[in-house]
Amino acid sequence: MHYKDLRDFIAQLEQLGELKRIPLEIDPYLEMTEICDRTLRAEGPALLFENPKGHSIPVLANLFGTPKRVALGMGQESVTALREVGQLLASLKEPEPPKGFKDALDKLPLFKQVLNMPPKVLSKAPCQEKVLVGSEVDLSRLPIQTCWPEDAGPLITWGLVVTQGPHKSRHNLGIYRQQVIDKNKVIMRWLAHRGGALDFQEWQQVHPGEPFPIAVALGTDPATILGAVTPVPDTLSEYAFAGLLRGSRTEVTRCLTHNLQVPASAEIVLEGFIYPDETAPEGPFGDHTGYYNEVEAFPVFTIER
Amino acid sequence: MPILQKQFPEIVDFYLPPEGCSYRMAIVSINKQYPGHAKRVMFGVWSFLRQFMYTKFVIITDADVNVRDWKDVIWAMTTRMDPARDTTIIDNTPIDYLDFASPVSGLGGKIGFDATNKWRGETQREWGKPIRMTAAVKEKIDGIWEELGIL
Repeated sequence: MHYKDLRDFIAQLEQLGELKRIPLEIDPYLEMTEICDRTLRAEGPALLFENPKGHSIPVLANLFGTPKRVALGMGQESVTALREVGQLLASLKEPEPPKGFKDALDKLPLFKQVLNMPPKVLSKAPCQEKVLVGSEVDLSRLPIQTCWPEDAGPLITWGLVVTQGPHKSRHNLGIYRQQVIDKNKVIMRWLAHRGGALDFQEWQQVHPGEPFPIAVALGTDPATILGAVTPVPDTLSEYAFAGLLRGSRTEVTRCLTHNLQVPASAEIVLEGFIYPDETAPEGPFGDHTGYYNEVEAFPVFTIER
Repeated sequence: MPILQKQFPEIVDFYLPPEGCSYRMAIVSINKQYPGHAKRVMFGVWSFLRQFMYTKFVIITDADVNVRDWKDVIWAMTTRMDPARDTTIIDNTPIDYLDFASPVSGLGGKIGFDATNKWRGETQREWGKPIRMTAAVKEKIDGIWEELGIL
């Protein structure tokens, strides 16, 4: 099964009984966390909060709360099929040349899949149907959760961050949590050894003092979301890997602010820059470890569009 | 356990997982009162009662950990322990001759894991604070949980 966008995936999950709609008004401040936490521990369904308190945009949560839904998101039917995805990744990392004609024929399906890898650039994309620029940008319009009582503020937990290093043609996709500090500013919390941080570091060396282009996609098709969290080889773009998972090329479109490419079917795209030397103290936030983590300085992402 | 608690009133719970042959591993939660407290309890377990002479693994946790739940115990070990600093290994201690993994029949090693929160003196670092939801939010969700009909 393959899904063209997040809405398609939601519809399929609902049919399988893997998604529950919550029509009741629920506060993105703490209440959603408590409901998700209980549901996750009970290996329950994905949750679609249709009526977040104070907002008109719904919130999808606990999407990948069970291994089965991760497998479904990767286009597989069962958890055991995930091993095949791993084998495919391994063979791409160290391809073996075909041994003779028959072997070449056997490997054909793999090479056909590799053809699905380069992203397809669309000139008209759903994610650009409605555009807000400059002072129209206001993150408080988005139902961003504050997860835990002692968190420093609201947090974008699953934004797909798109970057490109100056020496690389490939786009990097990573999930970095983003603390909201203003209506058009978030803190980009990437650890020093992660793809986005490395791209930023190389950019600063080649273009000292120049703003670094960034785009964040919220709510994309599941293969793209999962591609972004899979440890793919550094030379391979997560877009290409998502294409492999999906069995069809990832559709992207060029940003309106800069040349980065974002998933065409994303629900929301944030475009902007990290301005040189602009950092802010991030945290504390309750982390996956079960503890609040320490405050540390990270770059600030300014949203232009 | 009452006998143990008489000698060590700081012991909150004491669990011998049956899959550990009922006596070869003990997980003990304590009300920690001073740095190094976990180590004292480890040696207490090994020396106080003869029954625990063959308990070759001892894990000590704080009282907020349910020692009867592996998920909780593993969380405590992976978040509150440094493997090099917080393990105590002793060799040549009495072991039952049934334990064929010991190097010599009747004589083998013991290991203690201090999975308690580390105090000043035990660590110089700022220590993690566990996440807890507020009682008010929990209560509110309790109230609407049936209506949500998620599970």
